[in-house]
Amino acid sequence: MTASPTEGPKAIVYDIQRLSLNDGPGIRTTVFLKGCPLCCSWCHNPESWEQEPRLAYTDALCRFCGECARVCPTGAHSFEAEVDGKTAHRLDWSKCTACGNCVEACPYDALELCGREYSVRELLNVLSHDRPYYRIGEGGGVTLSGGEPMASFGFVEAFLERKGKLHVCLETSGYAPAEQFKRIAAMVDLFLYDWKAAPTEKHRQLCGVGNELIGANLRLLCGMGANVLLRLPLVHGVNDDEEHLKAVAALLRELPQIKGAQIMPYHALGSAKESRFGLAGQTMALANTGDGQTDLWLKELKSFGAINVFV
Amino acid sequence: MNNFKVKNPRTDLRFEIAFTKAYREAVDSYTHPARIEAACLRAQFPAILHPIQDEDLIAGRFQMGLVGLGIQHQTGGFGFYINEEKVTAELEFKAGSAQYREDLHDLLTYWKGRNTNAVVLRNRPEAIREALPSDLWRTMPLPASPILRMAGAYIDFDKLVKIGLPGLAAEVDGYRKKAAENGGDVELFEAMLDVIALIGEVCLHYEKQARLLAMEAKDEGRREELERMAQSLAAIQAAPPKSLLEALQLVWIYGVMAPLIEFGRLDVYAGDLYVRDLASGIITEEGAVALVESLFRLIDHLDCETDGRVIVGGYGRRNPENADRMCLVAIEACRRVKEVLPQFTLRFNDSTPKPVWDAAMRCIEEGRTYPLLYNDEVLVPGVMKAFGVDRARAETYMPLGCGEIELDHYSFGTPSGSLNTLKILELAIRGGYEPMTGQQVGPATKPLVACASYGEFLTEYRKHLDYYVHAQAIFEKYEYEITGRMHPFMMVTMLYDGCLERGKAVFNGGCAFLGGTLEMYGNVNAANSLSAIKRLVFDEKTMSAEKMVEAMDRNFVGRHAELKLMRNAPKYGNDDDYVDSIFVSLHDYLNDSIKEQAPKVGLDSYLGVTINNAQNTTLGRWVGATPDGRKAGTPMANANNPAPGTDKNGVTAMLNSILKPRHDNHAGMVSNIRFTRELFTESRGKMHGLIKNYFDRGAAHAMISVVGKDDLRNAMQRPAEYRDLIVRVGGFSARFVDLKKDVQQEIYDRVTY
Repeated sequence: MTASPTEGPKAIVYDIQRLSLNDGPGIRTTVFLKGCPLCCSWCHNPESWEQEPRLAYTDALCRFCGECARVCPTGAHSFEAEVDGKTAHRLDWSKCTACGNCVEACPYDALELCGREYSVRELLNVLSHDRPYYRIGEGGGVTLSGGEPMASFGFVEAFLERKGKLHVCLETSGYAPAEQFKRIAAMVDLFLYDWKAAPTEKHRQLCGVGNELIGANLRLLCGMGANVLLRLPLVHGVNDDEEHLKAVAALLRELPQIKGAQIMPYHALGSAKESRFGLAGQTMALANTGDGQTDLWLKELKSFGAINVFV
Repeated sequence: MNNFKVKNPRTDLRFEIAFTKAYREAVDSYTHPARIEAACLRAQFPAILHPIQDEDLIAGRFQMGLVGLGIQHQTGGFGFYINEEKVTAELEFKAGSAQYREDLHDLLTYWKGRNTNAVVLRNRPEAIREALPSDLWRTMPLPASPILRMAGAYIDFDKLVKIGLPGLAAEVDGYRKKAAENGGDVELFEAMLDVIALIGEVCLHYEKQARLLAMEAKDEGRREELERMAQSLAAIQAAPPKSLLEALQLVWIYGVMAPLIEFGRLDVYAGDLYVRDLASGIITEEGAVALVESLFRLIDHLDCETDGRVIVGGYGRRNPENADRMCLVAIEACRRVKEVLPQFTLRFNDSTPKPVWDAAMRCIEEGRTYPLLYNDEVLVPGVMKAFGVDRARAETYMPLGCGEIELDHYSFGTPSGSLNTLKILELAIRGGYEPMTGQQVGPATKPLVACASYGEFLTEYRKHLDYYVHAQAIFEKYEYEITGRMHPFMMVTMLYDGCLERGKAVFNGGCAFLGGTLEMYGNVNAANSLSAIKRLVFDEKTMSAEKMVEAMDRNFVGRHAELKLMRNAPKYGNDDDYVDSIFVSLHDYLNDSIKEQAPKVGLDSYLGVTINNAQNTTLGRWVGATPDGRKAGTPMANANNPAPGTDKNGVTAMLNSILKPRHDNHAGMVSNIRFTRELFTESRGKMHGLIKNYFDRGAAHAMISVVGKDDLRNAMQRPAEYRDLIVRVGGFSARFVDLKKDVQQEIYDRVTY
C-alpha cells in the first residue's frame, strides 16, 4: 500500500471477481487485495501472500512467439525446441522481477501481471459498473477480500469512508491491530470472519501465527455490535479435529451475536494455481473435500452444540 | 441422402427419377403453376413417407429427396431443387443398372438450369450482379450473398385446428365458386382442393399402416397407442380435430407435406383441446406430455439444424388460461426430449404465470438451453416501431429460424441475404481492394491510409455498407416476385392471412405483408476493429494506418507489437463505452439503412437481424486479419456477443454491454449467456434474480446455456474461446481457463448429466 498526496491511499488489487455468489448476501463483486500476514497451508490464493505484483503465466495461451524473451531484462523467459518438434516456453521464476515488460509484449494474454495499484476512486469507478446487480434479490454489494484486506488498512478505511450506501463485506483473518478494527467496525456491513484452527499452537503451526489476537478481535467486534459471520475453512485431516470443532461450538455459544458459521470445504484450487505463479509446492497438495464430508462436519458441529452452522 | 432421422433411409435415387418424370409430365400437361405443384406433391407423397416408428404416438416420418419440391434449403431445397453434389456422388461411388445411371445423368442435366435456385439467380436484375456475384458464401470470399429460399412460413395452425381439413376444403371451394363467377383464378382453387384431398390420402395411408401395426403389436399398451393413432387419423379426414391427439396429428401431417419447419404457437392451437380432454378424462397430464414429446421427436427428425421452432407464451393469445396450461405440458416435454430440435421458445412478459417461468428456468438449469427466452415487454413495442404495425399485430410476433422476427401467419420475412460487415470493412480499409482475390470490388473509395480522420474513414466504410445493403434489398424484392410467378406454395397460401380472399398465391399478391430480413455477420468484430482504428491510428496515433494494414496483410507474422496494440484496443463486451458506443452506432446505422430500403424497393418492411448460427465461423473463414487483432480465417463473434476471448471483465460487464443496443429498428438480435450447472444448483435464487434483472433492464432475448461436460472439454482444448466461463470450485467460483489442467479435469469428471 502506498499513499499519494492527490489520490489518497492505494492498494494492490490482484483480482476483481464479478458475479460473486458466495461471499456475502446477494450478488457481489469481490475485490482481492494483495498481501497477507498469514500463510495458511491450505491457502487457495498463494499469489496473494506478498503485497507486490507477481507475474502469472498461462501456458495454454502461449503461441511461442518469443516476444517475452526478447524484452525480458533478466533472461527469465527462454524457448527450447523439444524432441517431438514442439517448442517449450521455460520461465525461470527466480529471475523474474515482475517488471511487466513481457506482459506488455505478449500479444496473446499468456502473461499477466497479478496485482495492480488502485486508488479508492478508481476502484469505486470500476465497481459502479456492477451496481445494477447489487439490487437483485436480498441485495448485494462489494466484498473486500485478500490476501488479508486489513493488511491494506489505510486503503480499506478510506474506501469505507467513501463508499456511501454500498453494502460492504470484509473477509478477514482477524489478524490486525485491534485499534484498526475499532476504527472501521461501524462502517462494515458484515464481517466474514475466518476461524481456522484451535488451539493457538496448532493455529501457529498451520497458519504461521497464533490465534489470540484473532479471538480478541472477534470478541471486540461482537462487543461493538458489528455483524459477524464466522467462516470455517475445513480441511479433512488437517484442521477438522474434535478440539477445533468443539472450540467453534463453544465460540458460537459464547458469542450469540454471531449471525452464523459457514463451512468452507477445502478445494485444491490453490495448489493447482501455484504453477501459474511459480509457486509450486508452497501449499498443501490435498484432494478436494470428499462427498459427504461436509455433512459429517455439520453433524459433528451440531452434536457439540453449535447453532446456525451451514455450508 | 438427406439427414432426416428415419430408421431405414432410402438407398437409391429411384424416387428422384420418378419425381423428375412426374414433373416432366406435369409441365407437358399443365401451364398453371398450381396444377404443376399439385402434381409434384402427388409425386412426392406418399413416396417420401417413412413408416411409423416404435416410439411414435403421432404418425408422419419423411425424408425429402435429393430432387423435389420444397420451400427452404433446410428441408431438401427451395422450390424445385436438386442436390447436385449428392446426386453426382451417387453416380461416382454407387453401382446401378445402365438404365438407372442413364436416368441419373438425365436428371442432373435436366435440372441443371431448371431448378428454382438457378432460375432465380440467372434472372437477377442486372443492377445487382456486381454486388451479388454468387450465392456460394460457404466457399467464396463474399461481402454479401443472397440466400435463396422462402424461409419462415408461420401458417395459421389455429385456424387449421379449428376448421380441420373439411372446413378448409369448404372454404377453398367457396372461393373457387366465387372465382368462377368473377373470373378469378379458378385453377388455383381447384389445385388447392386437390392438395387438400392429398393430405386426406396421406392421413389414410398412415391410418391403414397404424391399423396393421396395431394388429401385429405384441405389447398391449403399444396396440392401444396405435389404435388411437389410427382413430385420430381417420377422424381428421372427416372432421375438425376433437382432441389434443387429433390436433397434433393434423398439424404434423400438414407441416410435413408443406414442408414446414416452424410449428407455431402450440399452446394456443392445442390449449383448448388439451383442457377439454383433461376435463372429459380422455387424457392425463402425463399422457399429454407423452404426445407432445412425440411431436418434438418428430420435429427433431427433420434434422434441419436451424428453425424447428415451437412457440409458447406471450401476449396476443386468444385463450391465455388454457394456453398456459398447455405451456406447462410443452415445457415438460421439452425438458424430457433432450434433442437439438425443436428450438423451443418461450415468449414471456410481466403477466407470465410464475409456474410457467419456474418450469422454464428448471428446464434451462438442466442444461437444455431451451426455452429460448423472448421478452414481450421489449419486443412488442420494438416490433410496433420496426414493422410499423399496431400493438395487437405486434403481439403476434414470432421468432423464426435463428431469431428473425415475423408476424404470425400475416407477414413473410424470409432472411434471403447475408451481409459480412467485417469482410466489407476489410475492403473499405483498402478502398475496395479484395486482398484474397486481388480484385477491386464494390465502390472505389478512399483507403484508410488516405483518410485524415476516423470520421472520414467511417464515411468511406458506410459507402461500402450502403452499396451491399441496397443490392440485398433489391434482391429480396426480386426474389419474392420471381418466386411468386413460379411457386404458389399452396399449403402455405391456404393458411396465410388474406391469400384466399384475394385469390392469390402467397408471393403472387396474396400475402398482406411482404417483409424481408437481412442477416448481418461480423458487426462485433467490425466495431472492435473500428475501435482499434479510432484509438490507435487517430486518437492516440500509436500506429500508422500503413503499419496497421501491413501487419494485417502479413497476418501479424513477425508483427507482434502491432498485434498486441490491436488486441489491447477496447473490445465490445467489457462495458467500455468507447467501443460499445461504436458498436451501438454501427448496429443502428446498419439497421436504419436496411429499414430505409423497404419503401425504395417496394417491400412492406426490410429489417436487419443479428442472429445465431454457424455463419460467424463459415464467413469468418474468408476474412483476412482484421484491426481487432483477429487472425485471418478465424471465427467472428456470434450474434450480440463479445468476440471469443475478448470479454475480460466478467459476466456482469458482458451483460452490461449486450444490454446497450436498441431493439426497435430491427427484426431480431440474439444474445447468448453461458453458465455452469452448479451456479444454478447452488445459487438458484441469485441466478434467477440475475436473469430477471437482465430482462428488467431492457434485454430482448437470451439463450442461456447451462454448461455440462462437452463444453468443459471444449474449454480445456480451446481456452481462448472460453475465458468467460465461470465454474464453481469448492466453495467459490473461478474462471475455468485459469485452472490447472488436472483441476479442470477434475471439474470435468465431477460434472454429471
